[in-house]
Amino acid sequence: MASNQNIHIIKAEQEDGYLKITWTTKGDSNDTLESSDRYPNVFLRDSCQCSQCFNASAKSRLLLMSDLDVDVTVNSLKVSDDGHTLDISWSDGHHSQFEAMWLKKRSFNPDEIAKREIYYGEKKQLWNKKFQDEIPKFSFPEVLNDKKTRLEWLTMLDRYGLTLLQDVPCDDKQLHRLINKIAYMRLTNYGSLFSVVNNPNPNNLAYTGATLGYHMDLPFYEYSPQVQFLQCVKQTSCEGGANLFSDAFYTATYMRDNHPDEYKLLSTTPVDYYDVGKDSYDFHLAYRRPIICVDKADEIKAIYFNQQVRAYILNLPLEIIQPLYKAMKLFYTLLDENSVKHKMKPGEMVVFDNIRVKHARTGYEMKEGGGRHLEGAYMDWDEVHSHMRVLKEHVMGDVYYSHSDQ
Amino acid sequence: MKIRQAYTEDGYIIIVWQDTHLSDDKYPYVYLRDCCLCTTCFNHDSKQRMFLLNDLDVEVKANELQLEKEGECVSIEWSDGHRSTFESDWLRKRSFKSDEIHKRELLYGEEHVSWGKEFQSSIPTFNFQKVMTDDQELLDWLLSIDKFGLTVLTNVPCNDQQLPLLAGRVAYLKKNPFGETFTVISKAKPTNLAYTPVNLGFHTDQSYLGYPPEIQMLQCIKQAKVGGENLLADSFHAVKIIREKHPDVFQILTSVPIDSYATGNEKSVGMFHAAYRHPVVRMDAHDTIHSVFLNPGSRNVSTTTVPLEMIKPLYAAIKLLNTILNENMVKYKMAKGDMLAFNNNRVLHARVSYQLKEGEERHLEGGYFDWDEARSRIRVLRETLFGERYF
Repeated sequence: MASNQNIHIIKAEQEDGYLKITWTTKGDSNDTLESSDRYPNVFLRDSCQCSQCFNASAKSRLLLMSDLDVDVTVNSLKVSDDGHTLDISWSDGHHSQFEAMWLKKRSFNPDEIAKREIYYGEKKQLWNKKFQDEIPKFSFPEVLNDKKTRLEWLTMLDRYGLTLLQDVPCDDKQLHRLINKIAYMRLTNYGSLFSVVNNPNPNNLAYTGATLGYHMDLPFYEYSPQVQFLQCVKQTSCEGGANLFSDAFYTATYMRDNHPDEYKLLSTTPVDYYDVGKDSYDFHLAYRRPIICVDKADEIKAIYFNQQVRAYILNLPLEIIQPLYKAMKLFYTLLDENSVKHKMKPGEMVVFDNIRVKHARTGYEMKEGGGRHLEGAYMDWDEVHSHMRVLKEHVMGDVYYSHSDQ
Repeated sequence: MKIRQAYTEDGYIIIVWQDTHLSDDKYPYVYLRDCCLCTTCFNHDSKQRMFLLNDLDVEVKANELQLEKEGECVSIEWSDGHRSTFESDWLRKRSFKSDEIHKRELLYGEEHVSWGKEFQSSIPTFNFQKVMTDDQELLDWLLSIDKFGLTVLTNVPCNDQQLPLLAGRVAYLKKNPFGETFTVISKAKPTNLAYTPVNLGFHTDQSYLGYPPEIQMLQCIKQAKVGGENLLADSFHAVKIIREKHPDVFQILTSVPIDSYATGNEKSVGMFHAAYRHPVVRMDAHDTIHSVFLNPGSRNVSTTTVPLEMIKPLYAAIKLLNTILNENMVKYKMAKGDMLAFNNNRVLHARVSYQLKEGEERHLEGGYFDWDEARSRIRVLRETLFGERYF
């Protein structure tokens, strides 16, 4: 990236409420390029970095919204002789100074804005059953101890939603070790760590040998946990106990293109989910929303799909019920057609995006000595993405600059 | 609630009740087959469905119906060879009539009552000790936060052990980058503006998270003599005004995401770099206001992804919201032993600057929990106190 030395402001002028800056930048091959950028006045006034407007220690804006004039204009502009600094005298009486480099980094050029998207997460790469031989695999000790490997692993997790860690010691301390490297465990009604073993009085079907169809964990939370860790401590020697995974974003996208009526139903009909019982505390959790969640830009953001905890009470008009079941069944069939399968061995751990990748389990019998034991935990993307940004700054020198960084 | 007659019609099972004042109820075949409660289809310990979607015939038909126990239950022989039995009360509770459905929707939350500055004299106030020991009081407190967004608790012991205890009455404290609890005290090298004595404008906490903490507790252990009042405003009230009088501004507030971020190094999490972008207003499926996110302190100008031409309209929109909040706020200066508990994504809070003399201190303790846990507690309390059970 160019340094302040290579950017020279030639001209700064007001144009319809924007500050228009014309500058030259020196590229890597020493050629000089002239370009211009525009900045809304109010944006620059709001971003003033003087100690009245910005607290450098807290990296927080001090300037109050009450004191910001959204129609602020420029009284005078002064470009320094070396073209590196711009002084602005505002109509509200304030003065701001900006470095050319600071301004260039915050260009409103749509291409520059597009480059910043990565700050919020990897672009998702959708997959189908061909992913079977491509599931990203990493060594657990390396992920634990090497920042570069850990960043690679989390990047794959973000991008594909499914990863496998190997060489995990077979005890119940490992999830703590791994998750504490990232941030902290997400607490739910099942505690912070849960053991997937057979229970004579189970409060969750996971704690039995039953076949579990494709589902996400805990859809009855508004804040459903987003990243799931499942460590294999012991695997059944009998038939069953394998995990299947399917990229529900792939399935939902396919459905949108090929079965638009069913897609519409699943993305607009709120389905009730619930969980009643006792674990870390007495709970009666419930939430309702469409199975396929899209944002305002129509991008698929989350899939809330789970047959075990779909409520035995549906708050929907009669005529929608059978079409809804048909759409769910179709969705299920498509998930299954595009799944990958893995029967974990002791020492392996799957880490996957609970909101995106649906998981299933083939049923197994609880035979004498044929026990199965997985240890599980959750995190949310807030914490995982936060750690990825910290790692990027460490590993790649990628500085997600705050107000005052050059 | 006994059944007089059960018959099939066009893919539905029609239930005629013995009580002639009750109109008939209809249940789709596929729904009842899916909700079979026999031990093969339903696990009674976990109360979860074992019946796999894979095995469900969505075109299943009811071949034969039989009333049993003088109309207390009905048995169904299905076309897939299975047999289900449903109790009349179970069926009644799951009526598909639109007014019944509407009543059940209240399960998901109270109707919000919005307010302006007239609320100053009627902020719901609770005795902390009573909330800690009495379940009805706990329920009333939680329902008030849902309905009004703002409550005050008094008689809170002045030490930092209280927040985990109060959160424990609900479920647990929600962890965030600043830990399970945070201490608001003037600091020499502040990692957050809250740790300084300056004016804080109206804001919601932690809008740089995708899962922002929803209910905030702010406990006063020591208060400044001069300044330090909290200003609180109902953003739902302000947004309603904007929706009515400035629909173009409403459109911006509900659709343009604001980039927010926070960085730091905290004991709970080590180094962190949280970032998210929410539009200021999030509406829910019923076209009512779900949440408001606004934190000017953490507005990010370094990784702004808002297009150039939306910047000024966005600022103008936030400014208008801020102005209306200022015109409709209540003021509360906590005394030591007071606690504010409010919907962090509805009631915006601000703080008047304070001055401390030699030896003086202002000390607040803060913590959060979320609606998932609060509403779960409300449902459990309703069951324990009134026998109300929904699922």
